[in-house]
Parts: sequence; C-alpha cells; structure tokens
Amino acid sequence: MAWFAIVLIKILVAFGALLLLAAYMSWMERRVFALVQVRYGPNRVGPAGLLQPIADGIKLMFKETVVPSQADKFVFFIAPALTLIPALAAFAVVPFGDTVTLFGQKIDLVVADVNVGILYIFALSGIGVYGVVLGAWASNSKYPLLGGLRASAQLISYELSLGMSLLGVVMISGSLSLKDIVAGQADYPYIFLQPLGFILFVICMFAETNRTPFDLPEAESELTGGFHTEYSSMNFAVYFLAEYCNMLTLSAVAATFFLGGWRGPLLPPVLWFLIKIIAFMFFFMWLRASSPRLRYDQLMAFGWKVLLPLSILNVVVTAVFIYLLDS
Amino acid sequence: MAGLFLFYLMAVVTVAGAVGVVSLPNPLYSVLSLIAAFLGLAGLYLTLNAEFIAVVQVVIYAGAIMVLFLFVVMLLDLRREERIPLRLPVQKFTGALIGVGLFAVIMKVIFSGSLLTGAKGAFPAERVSEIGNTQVLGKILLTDYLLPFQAMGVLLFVGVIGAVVLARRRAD
Repeated sequence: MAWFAIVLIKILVAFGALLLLAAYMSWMERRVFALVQVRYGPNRVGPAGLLQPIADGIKLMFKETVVPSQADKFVFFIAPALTLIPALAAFAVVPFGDTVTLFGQKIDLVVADVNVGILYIFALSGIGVYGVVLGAWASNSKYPLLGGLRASAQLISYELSLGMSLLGVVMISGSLSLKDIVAGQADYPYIFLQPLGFILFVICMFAETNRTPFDLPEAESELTGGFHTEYSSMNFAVYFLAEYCNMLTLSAVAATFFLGGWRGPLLPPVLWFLIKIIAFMFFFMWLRASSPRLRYDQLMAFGWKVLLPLSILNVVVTAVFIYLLDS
Repeated sequence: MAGLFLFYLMAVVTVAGAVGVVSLPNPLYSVLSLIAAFLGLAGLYLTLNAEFIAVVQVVIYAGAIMVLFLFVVMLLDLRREERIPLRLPVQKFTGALIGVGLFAVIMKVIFSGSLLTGAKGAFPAERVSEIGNTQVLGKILLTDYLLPFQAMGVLLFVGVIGAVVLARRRAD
C-alpha cells in the first residue's frame, strides 16, 4: 500500500509541477520576448507580472468555445487532449533527482524507471503528432489543414534524426533507461563525448516542438495560426500547454542525455535539473525572438540531406571509437 | 490477476479496433481504429514481458506508418466515399470464407491444448528480465539469426530503391 501511495504522490507532484512550469513558461516567453525587443512585457498582474498566467487561464476558461460549421465534432474535441496526454506522460521516465530517504522509505525521484525509457519517450512523441494532425483535419478549414499536413511531414522527417542523435549516448552508456544514463555521467557529462550528437539533438528538438525557426505548422504570416486557427477557449489553451510541456520534456531529455541530468555541484539535484531545463527554455525563446522562419523546401532538405546523414555519421564514428577503446 | 485483466482489456481494444477498421464508413475513422488496434497490440506485447517490441510497435506502426496513412487520407478528401456503400461481393465472400477457416484453425489449436504444454526455450521470461529485454533481442538477432536479419535489411533496401524508382517515373 505504501508503494502505491508513493507512486501516486510522485505522479501528482511531477505532473502538477510540469503543468505549473508550462503555464509559467508562457509568462517567461513574453518577458524574454519583451527583453529582446526592448519592451516591458506583462508586468501588471501581480509582482513582475507573475500572476499573468493565472489571469490568462481564467480568461480562457470563460471564453466561448467556437466550433466551425461542418467540423467533425468528436475529433475536434479529443484532438487537443491527444496532444496534451502524450506530452505529460512522456515526462514519467525522466529522473529529476537522486534517490532520497523520506520517512524511512527509499524513494527514486522518477515516476517510472522503464528499461526502454528513451524509446518510450519517442513512442509518445510519435503519438503526440496525431493531436495536431487530427485537430487540423477536424476543423474543416483550409489553413489548419495545410498546417496539419506540414506538421505531419515535418515531425516524421525530424523524428528520425532525433532518435539517431541520441543513439551515440545509448551506445556509450549501454542502456536505454534514463536513470542508468544519468548514473553513467558521474565523472563528466556526455556532451564532451558526443558534441555532434548534442548539436543535432538540439536542432531536432526545435523541429519536433514546432518552434522557430521550424514553426511552419503554425506560421502566423501565411496560415494565420496553422493547425489551431479554429480553436478557441480551453481547447486552445490545451494545445498551448501541450506545446510547452513538449518543450519542457525534450529539454529534460537533452539535460539528462548530455548535461548529466540532475548532477551538479553544491546546489540540490532537483534545483540543478530545473536550472538546466530553464536554460534550454531560455534558448528556445531567445531563438524565437531573434531568428527568421525556414522555407518549407529548405526545412525538408535540411532534415533529410544534412541532419540525417550527420546523425548516421555520428553513430558510425561512435561505434568505431567504442570498438577501438574496448580492444 | 492484474495481468489477466490487462490482457482482456488490450484484447478487447485490439479486436474492437480491427472491427472498426473494416466497418466504419469514414476512412479517417478507419485509420484511427487501426491506430487503436496497434496500441492494443503493443499492450499485449507488454503483458508478454516484451517491452522493447511493444515500444517499437508504437514508434513504428502507431507512430510513423499511421501518420503517413493519415496524411494520404487527409489529402484525398474522401468525404464523398462515405455515402457510397461498398459493393465487392467476390471479395466479401472470399474474406468471410478465409475468416471462418482461420477461426476454425485457432479454435482447434486452443482446444487441443498443444500451446500450453510446449517446451521452454533457452530464454524464458525470468532469464530475459534478468539480462534485459533489449540486450537479449540484440544478442540473438546479431548471432543466431544474423543471416535472416541481414536478408531483411536487404529486402527493406530493395523496397526503398523501388519506391524511389516509382516516384521518379511519376515526376518525369
């Protein structure tokens, strides 16, 4: 029974923190944007605008849900949930701290230590595409449909490189479990052994989360809002939250695979993990504020002709090095 | 007990999904049921202690391949097809015949009990979970089954080349 209670508490704490963090990332994004554009950003609601996400949430809850005519109602309503659930569930295998002892119980600070951890994350990110594509289709409107088509093509193309870029780390650590991968980085983080893998992963991470410079599925200047054009009220908010949850989860994966996860000197592990994630999030926002969008053909050519060959090269070179060092 | 419950749950999801694929009028709903069937199948693999296969099933079939199906269905705009009832008498008859035959074979195997008394292989569930699911699969694929594994790689490669050739001819 104690075991069950611990798991339940871990789930509640981890997902509550993730959702809260995702909501506050919208505040951070607007503040960082304002910083780059020499403005103030939202600073009226609460100290430094810290209550802004809560005000936004309340506002969105009271907005009317508009359903386009001839929309497929069933798919239209489940689609946002189909993006949010995988985005949240993927975080379950990410370890956010070392084993701690509370009330005489040894507790691993990870919701579920799955032995195929990283593949589980890929599986869920693959499922997450459906929410975007189905929402776009169900809206029965041309801009969302174009956005949805772009999203599906883009995500399939970049998922390959995303997986291949992590393969080097998996080969070095000899495990797919994220807990083992953090354990393997006791002496130095894997970024020193896999610099190319790190760069490739960060690029693919941007493409997987539909962020600038790869935000073609929601390109405002040509598709109004892309796949979520017809969404309003809480349905829109769920899409929005899912995007930030995806960014947070992939930032956490990047921190776990290349920067030693929760490891760090002086400060407590959970805090170190948070700092690393927020640093990645800042990088996301910084790039969005300062870089233009790719053209569609450039996006496809870059993914298939540059990133994929480079990530395969990274795997081959890593394999040769492991063989030479072992023998 | 929990394992049995999960098995029945996943079996129901898989079978219901499969029935949905052939019986739903909207092609997009058929694609969605097929995804549900694949996810149920992945769940069945999980109850068999095959975590790696389960996750790969989701990544490749439910993730990558079905997105392509969805892509095509969305592009084709099949809304008119919904209203036209399918008239394929020969196919339906043959399908029913094969279905009944397969059902008879499965029933015979189940009731003869030959599945339950089979000999244990070199890798029973306890040993697999001891070494690690992925490790066992990798080791066996690259030692005992190296030749079939390589042949499969060649087969997929031929498929890729074939796809490129066909796409090229269209473009000219």
